Amino acid sequence: MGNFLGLVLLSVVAILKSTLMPHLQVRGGAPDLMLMIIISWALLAPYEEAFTWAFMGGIVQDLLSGVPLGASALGLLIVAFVANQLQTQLYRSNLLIVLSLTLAGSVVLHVVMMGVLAASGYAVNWTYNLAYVTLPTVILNLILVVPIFRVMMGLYNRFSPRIETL
Amino acid sequence: MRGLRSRPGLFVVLFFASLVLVLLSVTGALAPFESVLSIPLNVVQGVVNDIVTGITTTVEDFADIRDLQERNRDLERSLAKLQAELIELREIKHDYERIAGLLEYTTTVTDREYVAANVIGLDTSGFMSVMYINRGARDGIEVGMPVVTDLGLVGRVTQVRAAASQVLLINDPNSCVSVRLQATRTDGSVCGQLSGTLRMELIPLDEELNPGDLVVTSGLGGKLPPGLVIGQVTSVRRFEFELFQEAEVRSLNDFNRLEFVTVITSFEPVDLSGFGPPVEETEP
Repeated sequence: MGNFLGLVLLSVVAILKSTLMPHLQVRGGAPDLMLMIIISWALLAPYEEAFTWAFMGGIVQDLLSGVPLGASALGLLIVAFVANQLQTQLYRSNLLIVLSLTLAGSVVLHVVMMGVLAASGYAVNWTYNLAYVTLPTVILNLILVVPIFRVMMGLYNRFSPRIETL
Repeated sequence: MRGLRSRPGLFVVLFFASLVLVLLSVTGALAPFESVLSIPLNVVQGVVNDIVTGITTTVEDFADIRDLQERNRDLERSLAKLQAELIELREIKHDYERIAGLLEYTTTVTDREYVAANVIGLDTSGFMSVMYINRGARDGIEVGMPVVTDLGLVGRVTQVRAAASQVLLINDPNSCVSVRLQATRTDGSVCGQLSGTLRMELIPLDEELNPGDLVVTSGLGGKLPPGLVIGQVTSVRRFEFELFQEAEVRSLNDFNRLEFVTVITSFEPVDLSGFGPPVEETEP
């Protein structure tokens, strides 16, 4: 899938995240659609697409969020880099890898965003946010990431089919 | 260019680009760029939000029908009580107007001007209580303007773009508002809590507070006009060994379900930080 189609998809995801996801909140956390899509794509697609999507997705998300522009892109790029590294070393559709990445990626993304917020002068309560926002987000992401990964795999096979060699 | 063709090379380039963007964004240098980029996103966001809000409101209304019936009974009781109070207050108003006329009292409160706005989004990070409205610089919105509903204060405008603005809600942990208890005229400060609730602090121990007391803005500090409703006291926490007592305050606004708000555009916040300590002038 090209980067233009990716940008459209990521913009839709960012808009849904700011409009639909707040209604699905559990305590302070909500499903992080953007993170799950970036992890899925980083496990499936070449690194150029994975990193570009992580960067574009982060920027679009930050434009609709209160955090400084680039904060989400930083976190998503780190997650995409690790996920893409694993793609070449481990079987990409191993669900255990997907779940582990989602668990670690959710925490890393939140820590990076809180770090940027704290550095920009916003008072951040780390313990409370990790317990009240990050933990519910991790649980919701773990519940939803498998079906989202399946959808993204279908999209990848539809738009970027590859000939598997034995 | 060779670096861009390798995995670590592209990662490093995009990582540093993000870092630079963060630094520029924090300093405010990217504000015009962000403003232009967010225009199409804000338009689509507004449309999607209308659809989502319509659907979720319908679903939630069906789910909450029992609660709504009970709440309706409570509200009817409250309405009856308030109507009685209204009649009493009208009498007081007539007395006041008569006395003010006699003293040629001129009120300093000028008519307020409002701009109505739709809520088009909430903060996506989960770490802040922030919302976005579909009015911006081209509608005359400026940073610091109070945002209200008919149920009271919602927050203050913290960032303005061409067609949208960011509003820091009063229940954000970084928000504190100078307030006054309407009945006793006791001053205090209402601060947002991490749990999204409101707490009134700095209330002297000798002041008597009761659940149901109405909390309004005091206007002290010059950041907000006086008299805007914040909410009602729901419980009081008072210990003899502390310097002040605290009270939990419930806003009448449900910040997660706001659809429409109004921005008071005629109010200009005053920055009092420029004033130094008082210095006595000595005659030469």
